[in-house]
Amino acid sequence: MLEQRDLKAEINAKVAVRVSKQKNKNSQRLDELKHKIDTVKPYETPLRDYQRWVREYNELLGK
Amino acid sequence: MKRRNRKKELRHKLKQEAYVARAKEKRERYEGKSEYIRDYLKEIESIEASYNRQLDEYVETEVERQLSLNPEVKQYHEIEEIDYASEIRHLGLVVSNSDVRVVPDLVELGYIIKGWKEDFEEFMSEIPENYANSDFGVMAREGFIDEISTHFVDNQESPSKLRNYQPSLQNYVREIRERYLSQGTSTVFEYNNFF
Repeated sequence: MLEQRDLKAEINAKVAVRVSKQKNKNSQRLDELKHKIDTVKPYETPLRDYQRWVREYNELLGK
Repeated sequence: MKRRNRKKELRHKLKQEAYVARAKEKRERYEGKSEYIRDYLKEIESIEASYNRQLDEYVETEVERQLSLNPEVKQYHEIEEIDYASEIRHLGLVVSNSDVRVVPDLVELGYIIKGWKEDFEEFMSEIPENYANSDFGVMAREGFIDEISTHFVDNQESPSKLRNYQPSLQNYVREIRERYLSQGTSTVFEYNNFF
């Protein structure tokens, strides 16, 4: 038998799960990037890497 | 390696089981029904599939909208990117953006550059005044910033090589001296040809 669906509840649940997952993913990446930027080693860390990390970090923040 | 293979096998097995279960459910749904009812069910299923696609698209846009409304501003703060090439230019070197390969220690570099300049001035003060004021002195002073900029670009990955400037300074002075002397030779040569 085909089931009757509560679309509103279905959409809300799907959106909530996806948003939460994406936020966790963003937070993890932000932590990773922040750590990399904070522990940059003078004379060793390639400048292009540093620039890429800062840009990605700020983009994730929505800046 | 083995664990990853086991995971792969398990995923494959679960997919197979889900596929078999769906096929069985489909078979049971159509079993014993007239052709008219089967067609009707198929039509409803295709409508539902298209509905699901629209639903997924809507969920996707809604997720993006909610994420853009609530950026991670509470726990994290924007980081201002340091323009290292520009900072190095402020310290007095002539470098392009692509010349800077690694993150420098700007504070230390400031002291190092100051040291290079002091070494150069010390050298110039030790040579006879008439020689220092000749074209040799002018050429040495004019090319000095380019010389220390090149020294930085070549040795930026090695703090010890950056600090150890004396060999580079000696090479530089030798090079200028040779240029100065060859200039003198060519002047004499031109003078002799003229008469």
